[in-house]
Amino acid sequence: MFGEIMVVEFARALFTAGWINVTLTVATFPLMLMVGGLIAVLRSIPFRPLNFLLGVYVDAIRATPLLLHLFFVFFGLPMWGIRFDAWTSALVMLTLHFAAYQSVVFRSAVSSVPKSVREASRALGIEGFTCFRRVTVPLAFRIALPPTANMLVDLFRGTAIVSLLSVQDIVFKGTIMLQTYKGDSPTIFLIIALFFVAVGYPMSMVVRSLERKFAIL
Amino acid sequence: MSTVLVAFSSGDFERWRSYVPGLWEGLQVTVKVSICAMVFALVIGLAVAIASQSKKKIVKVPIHIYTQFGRVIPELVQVFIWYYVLPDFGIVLSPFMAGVIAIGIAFGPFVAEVFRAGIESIPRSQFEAARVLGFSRARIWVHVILPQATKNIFPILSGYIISIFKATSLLSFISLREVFAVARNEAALNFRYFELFTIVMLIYLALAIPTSLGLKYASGRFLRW
Repeated sequence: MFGEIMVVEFARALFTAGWINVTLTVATFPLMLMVGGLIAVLRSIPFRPLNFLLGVYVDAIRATPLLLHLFFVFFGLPMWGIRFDAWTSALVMLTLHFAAYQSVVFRSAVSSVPKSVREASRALGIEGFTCFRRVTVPLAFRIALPPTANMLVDLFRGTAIVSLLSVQDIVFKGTIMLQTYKGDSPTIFLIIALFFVAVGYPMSMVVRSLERKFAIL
Repeated sequence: MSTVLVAFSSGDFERWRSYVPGLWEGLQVTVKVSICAMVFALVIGLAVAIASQSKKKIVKVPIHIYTQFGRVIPELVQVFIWYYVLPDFGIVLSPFMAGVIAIGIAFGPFVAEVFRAGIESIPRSQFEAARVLGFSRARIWVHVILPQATKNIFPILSGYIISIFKATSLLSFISLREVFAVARNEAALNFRYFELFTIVMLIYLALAIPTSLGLKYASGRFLRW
């Protein structure tokens, strides 16, 4: 029963399911950037109550597990009449979870642009929003790029967890196959690990080169 | 539902009290497994970071594979590997052991990266100076390099310590009865998912926030060499 054909069959079935992980990552990433950016912008407004609430949100998200957030949305919210299917709850919660982390990346990038740079541009007559747009943001972009790319890798890794909500991704498929082909668990999990390495390793290599390329300030 | 919004009835308090013993048990398991996994990850990370300073290929290649591949394989997959695959090779681990090993190894690459950065921030001249003063290799590491290296990296390291603590929630899926597993079992019986998950969320917050504040305090106060 164990042969090359079996391995090819397993790989085909698992990689097909792996497509869910890739699409979920691709769908979440831009949403996560937008929400993260929005949180960062809103937190920069000097309005105490809003600032406080967003701060609590970001810290609470960062201190509790993603798994719990997913279960909260998928099992907890239907009680209040808010019902998403598994894929949508995964999308929503991955976005909200990683946006909290991303907002910190954006904020620390902006705040790590030295004050002297702004003062210098002020001395040159570049002030206010123009200074922010033409001086601070381009510099902050360089600082934020490697950690943001790293967030993409983290997000991709994080998609494995959605299998526990019965989203039919590669890990879910693997655990289902485990029930049928009990003796083949090493093959199944080797293929799953290979999938994550095959997609994730090139991504993390890109992150490393970005880190080297943009390590200036 | 409106009863919850308007006021809590005495029945609610009764029910919440009935959760306490189970959640307390689960909480203890969570704390134990977290501490074991943290220690294991720190040991692996430190060992890998020190070994990565070697220039021998036979050391460098396996370390590169572990640190680069290990960090892209999700924790959940690693947990399943230790729990579901190893029995096929005749090694049966308890959920607790499998969890500690899986999470320790899953976070090893990240911790190693942090330690490596800390070690490489120490000027090479310190190695040379220590050698000139007649320090042995082990003493150079223990008394000269590591105290300075760990001081610089402590804030980043405490972030990973919190991450390890959060990752232990995955172990509820290999039948470890930690706090999230207890809540899920309870909710499967009474369908009060929202309530139970809120409680668990508060428990995680109640543990994570003092831990991270404590680590921050410790790094400012006790780690001045």
